[in-house]
Amino acid sequence: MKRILIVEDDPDFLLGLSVRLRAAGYSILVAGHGAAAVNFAGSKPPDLILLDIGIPGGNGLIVLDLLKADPKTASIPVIVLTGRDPAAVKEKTFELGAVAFFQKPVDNDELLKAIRKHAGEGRAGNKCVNEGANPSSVSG
Amino acid sequence: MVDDNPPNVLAMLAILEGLGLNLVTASSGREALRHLLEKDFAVILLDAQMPDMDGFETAAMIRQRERNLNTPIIFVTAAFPDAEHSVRAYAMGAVDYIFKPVSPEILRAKVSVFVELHRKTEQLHQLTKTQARLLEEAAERQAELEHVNGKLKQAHLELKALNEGLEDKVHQRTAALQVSEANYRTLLDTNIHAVVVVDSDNTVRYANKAAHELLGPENGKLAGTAFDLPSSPDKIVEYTLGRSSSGDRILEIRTESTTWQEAPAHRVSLIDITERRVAEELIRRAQEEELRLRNRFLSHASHELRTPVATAYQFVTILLDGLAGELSPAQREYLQIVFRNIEELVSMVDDLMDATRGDAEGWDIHPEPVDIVLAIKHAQQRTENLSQARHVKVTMAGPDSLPDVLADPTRVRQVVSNLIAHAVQHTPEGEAVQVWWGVHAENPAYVCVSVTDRAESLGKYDRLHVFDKMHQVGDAIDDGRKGLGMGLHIAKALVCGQNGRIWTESAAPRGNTFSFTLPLSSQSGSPAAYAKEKQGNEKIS
Repeated sequence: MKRILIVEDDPDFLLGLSVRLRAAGYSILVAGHGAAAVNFAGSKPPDLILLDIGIPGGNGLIVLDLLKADPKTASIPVIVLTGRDPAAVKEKTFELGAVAFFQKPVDNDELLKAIRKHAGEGRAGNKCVNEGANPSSVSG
Repeated sequence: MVDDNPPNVLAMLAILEGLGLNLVTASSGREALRHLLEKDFAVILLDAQMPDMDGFETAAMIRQRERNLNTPIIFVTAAFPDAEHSVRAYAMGAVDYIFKPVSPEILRAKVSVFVELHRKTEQLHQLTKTQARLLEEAAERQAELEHVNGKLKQAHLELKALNEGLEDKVHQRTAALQVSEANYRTLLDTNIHAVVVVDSDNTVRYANKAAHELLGPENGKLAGTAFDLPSSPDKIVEYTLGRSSSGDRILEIRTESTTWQEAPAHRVSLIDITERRVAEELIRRAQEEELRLRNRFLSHASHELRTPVATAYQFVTILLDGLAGELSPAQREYLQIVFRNIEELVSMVDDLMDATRGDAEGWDIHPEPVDIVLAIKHAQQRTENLSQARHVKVTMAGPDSLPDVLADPTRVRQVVSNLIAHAVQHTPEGEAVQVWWGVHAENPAYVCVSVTDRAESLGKYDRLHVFDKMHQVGDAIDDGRKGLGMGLHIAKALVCGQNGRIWTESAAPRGNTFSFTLPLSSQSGSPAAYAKEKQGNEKIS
C-alpha cells in the first residue's frame, strides 16, 4: 500500500483529508509540525508528502527545502497545499522542487489525480466516487 | 481813306491796291467816324478839305475817342501847303502830311510804314494780352493756392486744437492712472502673497513686502535684479525654493500679463503652498494607511476562512460520496444544501482575496488567444448550482464560434461567471437570465458579451456605483443574500485589464444588461482601437 505523509496542523482538515485518501486506498501518516515531518520522512520515507506550507513551528517552505536537501528524502514527491494567497508562494514552491500546488479548499478529483500521477494507484479496486457532489463546480 | 471827291478815292485805291491791304473808304468825316466805331485801322488817310466837317474837325473828333488816340492820321491836302496848317494838323495828332497830287511811291511808302507799325503794335498788343491772360491765370492759380493754403491753415489749427485737447486728456488720464497705480501698489504692497513685477527683460521692477521676505537679500532691494524663478505666462508652475534659514518652501508660481509704467510686463505671484502640500501629504498617507489596513484585514480574513471552509467542504463531500455509510434521501438533500452554501462561501473568499490583492498589487493576467464561446459555456456551468438553487433559468444565445479574443482564459471565465452570478442573484425566482454574445456592432475589432437580468432597473446612483468594490444594489440585508458585492468590481477590473470595456444599460421597469468587450486576438496590434474602448470605461467609471 502506498504511504502518504500529510503535514498539517489543523486536526479537522487533517482528519477529513485522511478519510478521503484512505477511501482512495492509501495508507496515511501524519505530522502536526515541520520538525516532526522532516524527522519522520528521514526515518521512514513515504511514497508522497502532502505539505501545508502554513504550518507552525517553521515555515512550510523551509520544511520543503530541508526535505529536498536531504538525500534520503530528496526523491520523495511533495504536493503543496496552502490556505494562503497562492500568487505569493506558488512559484517559490516549484523552484524548491514541489510537483504540484493546491489552494484550499482542494478539488478532490484534481488532488487524487496528482497523487496517482506521482505516487501511483492506491489499493486496487477502491476508487474514489463522487456521487451527488460536483467538486469541479467550485469556483476559484 | 476819307475824301469827298470820288476820283481822288479811286486814285488812292489804285495806288495802294498792290500792298494787299484791307482798304476802307469814306466820303465824309461822319462816315469815317462810323467806320472807326466798327473797327480799328492801321492808318487813316484824311482829306483836309471837305464840306460840313473838314479834315481837322474830323481828326479832333477821332482823337476824342480814347481808343483812337494813337491811330495814325495822314492828312492829304492840296489847299493848305503852309506852315500854319501843318502846325494845326500836327496839333490834331496827325503824323504826317501829304500834298496832292499824291506821289504813288511816297504814299505807298508812308502807308506801308504805318501798316507795319500797326501790325507790330497788334502783335505786341496780342502778346500783351496773352501775357495778361497768363498773368491773370497765374493770379487765379495764386488765388486758388491761397485758398487751399487757407484751408490747410485752418485744418492745421483745428488739428492743433485737437492735439492740445488730447494732450489734456492724456495728462488727465495719466494723473488718474497714477492714482490707480498708487492704489494698485498699495494692494500689491499689502498682499499676503509674494508678488513681483518683471519687465520684458526679466528684470524685477517691483517686489512687495512678502516677496522681499520670501526671496529678498537681507537688506537689499529686489527691484533691478534679474528674476530667476521659473515662470510661464498663463500657467501655474510649481517650484521648490531652497532656503537655508527656514527650510524649503513649495511655491505655486502664477504669471499674468500686465503693464508696468506703461510698458508690457508680467505680474508673478508666488504663493507659498508648503503647508497645503504637507497637509495633503498627511491626508494621502492617512488614506494609504487606511487602505493598507483594510486590505490587510480582508487578506487575513480570507486566509483564515480558507481552512475551516476547506474542512467543511471535505466532510460534506465525504458524506455525499458515501465514505461514511449510506445516506437517506432526506440526508442527501440537506447535505446538498450545505454543499452549495460552502461553494458560495468559497467563491466569496476567493473574490475577497482576488479583489484585495488585485487592487493593491495589480491583477494577475496572462493573455493568450481564447475561444470566448467555450469560456462563456464553462462559466455558465460553474454557476449552474446557484441558478438551480434560486430557480432562475439561464438562457444562452449567440453564434457557436467566434474568432479568438486576446485574454486570460481563467479571467474571462471569472468575468462571465461573476456577471451571471450577479444576474441570477438579482433575478426573481422563476424568471430567466439571458446571456448573449457576438462581434461588437460598434467596433468589429471586438467581441461583445452581455448578461441581462430581470431585476428592477438600476437607479442613476446604482448605475454610477454598481462596479464599485462592495457596492450593494438596494438594501442587501432586506433583499436577501446578494453576495459581497465584489463580483462586478472584479469583472470591471479584469475587463479593463484586458483592454476591454464594461458598462451597464437599464430598461424600465425591469432588466439590466451588463456588457463587456474584449479585443479579437487578430486586432491585438491596434492601440487606437484599445484607446477607444478604454475611453468608454472612463465614462462609466
